[in-house]
Amino acid sequence: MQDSDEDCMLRYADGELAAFQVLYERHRGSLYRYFLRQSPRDVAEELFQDVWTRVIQARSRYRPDATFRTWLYTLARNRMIDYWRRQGRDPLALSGNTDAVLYDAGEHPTGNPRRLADLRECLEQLLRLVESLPVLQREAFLLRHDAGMTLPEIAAALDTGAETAKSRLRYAMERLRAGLPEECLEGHEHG
Amino acid sequence: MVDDKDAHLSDLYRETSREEPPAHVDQAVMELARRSVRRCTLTPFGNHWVAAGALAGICIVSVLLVVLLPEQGGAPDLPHTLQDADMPEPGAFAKRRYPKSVDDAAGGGMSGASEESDVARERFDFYSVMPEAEQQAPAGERVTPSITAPAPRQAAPVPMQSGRVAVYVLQIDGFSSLAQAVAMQDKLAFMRLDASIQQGDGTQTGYRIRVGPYTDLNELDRVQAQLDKRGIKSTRERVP
Repeated sequence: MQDSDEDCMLRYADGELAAFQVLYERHRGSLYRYFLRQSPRDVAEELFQDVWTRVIQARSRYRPDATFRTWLYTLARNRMIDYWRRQGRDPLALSGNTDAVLYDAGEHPTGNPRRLADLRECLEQLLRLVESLPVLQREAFLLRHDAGMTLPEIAAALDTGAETAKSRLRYAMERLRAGLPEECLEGHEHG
Repeated sequence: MVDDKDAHLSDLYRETSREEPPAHVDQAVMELARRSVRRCTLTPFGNHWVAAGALAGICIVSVLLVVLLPEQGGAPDLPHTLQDADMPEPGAFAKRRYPKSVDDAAGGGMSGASEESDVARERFDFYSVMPEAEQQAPAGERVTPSITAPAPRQAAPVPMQSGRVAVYVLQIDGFSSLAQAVAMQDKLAFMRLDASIQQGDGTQTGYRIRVGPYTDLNELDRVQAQLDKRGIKSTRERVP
């Protein structure tokens, strides 16, 4: 049976490096992509390292009150917000707005979607759409589809309620569906 | 219908979203994790001896360079010659706030109340990792050993007019707590820079970080530019 993230973190706190390796291997890809979708590559690398540094430094104080994944992405989100603020942006200022406002905010990134027959083009288009989602929707989407988090975990990581998290995710999906040509959503065979 | 499309969309995203961190990032993280474990498992002893050993090592290297250079027919051609006037006077160790992100790296995240003392304890535990530390101890301020594995590349040394080799470090001031300094040291480690933490003496409070030493001005320029690019302000100091 696979050890839980929380067990691995506790074992690492006791000095077992192999437990950290397991944790790192499980989360490195999704955490890296979380940053990569929201910042330039060099920044993503720096933020990624910062988060793991904090995990390592905090190992002796880790208590499994929440899932490790929630904690990890809470750290990640804080680093992301720090970065946005350094850029003169404050995405959390949007928090008080309704989800409907968030959904309406911003122009559609692609205008009228043209027909895309090629899978590769569909993939590229989808990435562009994800990267152009409003911040709060994008976070919810990435936590769900990259990190594989449940709605309660997403809500905890975003410091919001489950219903709000669910709404953001739903609006993100609607926006992506609207921006992606129909043939991209009609059942490509994926390996 | 919508659910089907969402499922396809989800599949499509998983198909395209496969980027992974580059190998050097993986290595840096794992190295930090490894060092962190070592800090905890080794027995702490003799911080002063370790500090003294680090300083003694710098002095020995400096003396060897001074002795060996004349035997090799003088200094090699260098891009530019060191002038004492080029170098700033060693500045006073001013207490200065570091940007928020560094404070955060050392501070919050979890319960946090004892974080600083924990980090400090871990760091002091780590002092015992340094090998061959039992050297003669020159008087002076306390110096912690570097935490990075690779030492910076030492290119051609710069001789002064007196024939001695000038040795420089880049100094980063303004850490009011050891935890802040440690967080910066870890950050520098990710940049593959060799850094040590020093505690202010009687008239100076807080901590500062020294990156180096360097005997090649080109290397010094390059590293300082690298720090500037990351928003880390440093000053050049000549090691006496």
